[in-house]
Amino acid sequence: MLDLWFDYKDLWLSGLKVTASLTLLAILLGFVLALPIGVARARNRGLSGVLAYGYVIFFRGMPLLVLLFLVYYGAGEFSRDLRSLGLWWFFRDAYYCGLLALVLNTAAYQAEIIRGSLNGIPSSIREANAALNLTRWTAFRRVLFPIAIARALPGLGNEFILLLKATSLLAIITIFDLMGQARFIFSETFDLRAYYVAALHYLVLVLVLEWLLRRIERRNAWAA
Amino acid sequence: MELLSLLTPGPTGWGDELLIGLSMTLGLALATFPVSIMLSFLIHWARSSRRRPLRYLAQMHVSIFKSLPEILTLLIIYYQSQVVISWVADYAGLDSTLSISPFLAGLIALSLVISAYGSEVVRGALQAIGKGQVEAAQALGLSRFHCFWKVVLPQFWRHALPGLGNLWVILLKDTSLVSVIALSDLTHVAALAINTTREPFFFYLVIAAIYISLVIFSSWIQKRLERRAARGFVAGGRAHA
Repeated sequence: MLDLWFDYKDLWLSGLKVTASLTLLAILLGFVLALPIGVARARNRGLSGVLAYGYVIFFRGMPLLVLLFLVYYGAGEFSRDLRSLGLWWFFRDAYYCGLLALVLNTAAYQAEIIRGSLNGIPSSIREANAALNLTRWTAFRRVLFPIAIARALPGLGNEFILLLKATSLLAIITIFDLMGQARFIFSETFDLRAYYVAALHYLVLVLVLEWLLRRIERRNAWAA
Repeated sequence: MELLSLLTPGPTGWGDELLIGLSMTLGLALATFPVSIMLSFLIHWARSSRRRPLRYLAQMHVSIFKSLPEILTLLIIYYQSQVVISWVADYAGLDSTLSISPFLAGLIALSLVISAYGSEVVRGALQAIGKGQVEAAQALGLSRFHCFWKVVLPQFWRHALPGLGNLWVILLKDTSLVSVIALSDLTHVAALAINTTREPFFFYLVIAAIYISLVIFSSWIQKRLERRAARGFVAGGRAHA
């Protein structure tokens, strides 16, 4: 199996780079999108609560593969409108379409994790905020948000790993991540070991990530 | 309106094809789920076994199938089993055109993946029941089979249903992956429909809506089952009513 790795070293390394960049970008952008949705879900009042609930139901209810096709092939149908809006460069590119689908999907899952950790904060802390006369914004920024994030870390770490695995679906829309390179090398050589080499990559990536996340969690034990 | 007429059954519409795709999706999920639950129990027992090799094997199963992307597992199972089958067929002097069906490959791959997660659900639920129940059953002289079947299993569902419901939803959505190996499930049928109608946005939106309704329906069923499994228990307490 090693020879197959060294024969196609450049391909594997570039695949690794694409997988890593997709995972990191998607988790970060997804977090930015998930934060307001998660807060709206935790408040669960008014129009924002309904919209946030609809978002979560919609994007968690469909398979990522379908969302991916919806964005990538669906956008092609509106190419004329997108061109006139000046957005075509974005939807023409499989990388951006894949990234968008990943972000929309992971934001729904991360929002639920954030909601859970916000709702889990004991009411005594909210009462202490009120007793200290903190404004709602200060209370959120200095007290509730740090606690919620520290509590959400195990869940978010899990989501990180699930997202890393999910990026492999993008190979179907011609992205050359690890999975895409494995498919390419398999089509060149008809050597099934290409998939095993890719599997080894994912295995190592996930094991390293799990180790890192455990270390980070230990530092945040105060929030539990 | 023009778009909606594409959903009618018959030679011009895709309604009947989509229905067949839906039954394939549901069939695969319904066939896989019991297999993965049974496999989850086996893996949990192996993980808590006294024999070390068994423990290591089970731990490896969980680590591997929780780390590999589902699609990679599926492709490896699909292609590798083709190779193995033709190898065995050659060796036994049988017809070497035998091959594995995408349905079976999907069933095996998804069972392996779901059972890796399922073994943790089983462990959590059995821990929640507690050792006392098993010890009491042993003290009463029940055989191991009766202890499991009559004492542990009836209590198991109450603790395991939330986790199992989650797994069911994951499984339902993961069945869409078998469209990649050309099993004509919902996602695959949509791709076929798009090839002739050139309406990708509409068809993918329709099957997204179908998946979403399946998920919502599943969680409704799950809530009812949970209420049934918790009958006789005071809400929020451990005490027996």
